[in-house]
Amino acid sequence: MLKKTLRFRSAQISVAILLAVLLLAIFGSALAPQDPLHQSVKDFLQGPSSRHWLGTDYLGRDVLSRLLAGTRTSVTTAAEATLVGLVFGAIPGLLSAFLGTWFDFIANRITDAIMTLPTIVFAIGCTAVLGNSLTPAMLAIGFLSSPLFFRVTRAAALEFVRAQYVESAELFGASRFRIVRVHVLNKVIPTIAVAAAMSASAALLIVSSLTFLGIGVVPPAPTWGGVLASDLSYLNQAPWAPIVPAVLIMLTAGALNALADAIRDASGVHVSLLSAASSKAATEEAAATELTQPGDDADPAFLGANSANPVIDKIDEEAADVNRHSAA
Amino acid sequence: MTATVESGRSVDLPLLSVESVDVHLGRGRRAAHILSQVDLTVRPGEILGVIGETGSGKTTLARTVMGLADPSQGEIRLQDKVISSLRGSARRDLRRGGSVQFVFQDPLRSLDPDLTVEQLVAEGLVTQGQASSHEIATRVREALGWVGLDESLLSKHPAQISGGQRQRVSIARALVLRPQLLICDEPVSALDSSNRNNILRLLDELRTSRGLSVIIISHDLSSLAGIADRVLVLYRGRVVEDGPISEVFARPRHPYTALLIASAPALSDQLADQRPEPSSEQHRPLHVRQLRLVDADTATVSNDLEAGCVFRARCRFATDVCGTVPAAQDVPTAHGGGWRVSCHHHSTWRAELEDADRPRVPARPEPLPH
Repeated sequence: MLKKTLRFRSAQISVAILLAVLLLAIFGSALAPQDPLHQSVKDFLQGPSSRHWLGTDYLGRDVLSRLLAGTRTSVTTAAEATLVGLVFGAIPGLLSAFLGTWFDFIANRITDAIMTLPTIVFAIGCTAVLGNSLTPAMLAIGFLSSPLFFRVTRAAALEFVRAQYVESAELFGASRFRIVRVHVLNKVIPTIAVAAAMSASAALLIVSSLTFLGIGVVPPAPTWGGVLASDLSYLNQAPWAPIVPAVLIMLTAGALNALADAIRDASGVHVSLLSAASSKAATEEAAATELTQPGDDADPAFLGANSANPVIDKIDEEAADVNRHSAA
Repeated sequence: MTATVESGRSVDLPLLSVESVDVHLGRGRRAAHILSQVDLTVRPGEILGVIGETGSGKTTLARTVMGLADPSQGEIRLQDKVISSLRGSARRDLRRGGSVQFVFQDPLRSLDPDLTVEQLVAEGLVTQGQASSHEIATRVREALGWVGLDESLLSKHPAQISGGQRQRVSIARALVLRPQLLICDEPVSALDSSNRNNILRLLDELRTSRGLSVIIISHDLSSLAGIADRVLVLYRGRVVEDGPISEVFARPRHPYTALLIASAPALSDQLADQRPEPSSEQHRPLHVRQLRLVDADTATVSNDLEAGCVFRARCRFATDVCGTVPAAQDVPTAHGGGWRVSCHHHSTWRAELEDADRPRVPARPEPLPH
């Protein structure tokens, strides 16, 4: 699936962008030309210049340095939240499709309960209990995004639970674990990937609103969302300022979404085949394919052309007639 | 066709026996009675054809034997072992043993589109978890050879091969486990006639070479006529007739079977040709017109399988006695092997017909329009 995905131009560009973001996440702080925390009151809200390539913020800090240094926190945040969401959402989602009515019912009710929790209040509660740092906040955000993963995964998996090849695997005596691993997982992954890309880009932005409240990332530590949030407060003085962090977030989120789309498209052949199979026309279609290429595998010699069976031989002659007609 | 009978294998213990099985699908008040008092036996090396119209319960019968549907009554035995009551790990162990295999009707749906032919054929062996990867590879290639497929297909996906090839892949993945019994649900209904014959000949060949027993489910009489030893006719969930196929086709004892055969023009012509004395009154082929109840009111048919003979609403020989369920009655056969008919009038309807219709029916019926 990976090779097929990388054949798409959009996937290649996305992977290039994401690799660049990854490099920034690792080496960002070292690359920053200036101290991202250094304040200079007389230089506040300046436009781009040779000294500050992307200008300065409301405290006179170098925006380029803050963005570079903030990459790691931002990426970790998004990754952490998405991962937590996946673990608490996607795995129960897959299981609830296979573990029977009771598990499904209970998992659904728990999901309903989680969805009633208000994000910010829950995040504040988590940081109050677990201490105010990034991980508890992201645990909260990820946990609250798990219903999305649960619903999406469950819906996608349910489509395959009653698939005939799953039934066929059951007839071979396959365990549920094996059925999920071999027959279901790779068909559900594209859907989960799209949900994960959405969730990751949302997490990048949620961080900014949490920073605003001083939850998770404590000022003055820089993040992309934090830079964006502070710039938005000074639109009158520097209307262009939010563009830079916004473009960075957009590029990353866009690359994630495009990659997810490419993964889905790479498995698209099979998806279309599945929908064809589920329609009643499938058998007719199969028959039609056969008739258009009669010589394809019609090998009369494969078990000896003349059987001891008069009936089969008679039908054979009819078949030969049909083939002659279609050839003419 | 009568090889099993001639070699005396027909006296062997039955490989599979289904005894008085009832199947309800759904629960509570919505439960539908799909099969009622179904009996069948399959002996080693025998090919049993199961025919019936859409909705007669053919596929449910197969699914019940495979344990995909549970009988509400009766039992199913494989050799001496009752398999219909197995649950959980016991059922899984039986399935992993691979002695009974099922070939689904539509290979496009029963083959995982993401797997290659090699993975598909190997699936049963991999699930068993006993063979080494080298052994699996050898047996997969061997099974492909049995069904006449080339090894170059191993890396192909189901979407990349033709319908006939897919059907053979389906059969190969059943055969790779070296089953004793193969159940094929409409194995040829989606195939053109040349592929159809290849598949049927393959099943016939496997029976001879490997001693495989086969149940072929079909709505098409002519695909069974060449290869099956016995035929079981289902109508609305009940077995109406079960006997040696040559005798049943030559002289059906149940009006429904007679109607089915008369409705298949190619088959009835052929049967007429094969008979030693086609002009003999005794064996004169029947015509649909003689058997059909013209003013049949099937809309008011009760869904209750216990409310009399299931065919009576469409039967022109039905009388008051048909309001009770007919018991299966033994009919003498020329070659042995058992012939059972569920009809109150099985010994009289033909005579009644010949008396009543003699002046009006032409000696040789005109073929039906196709």
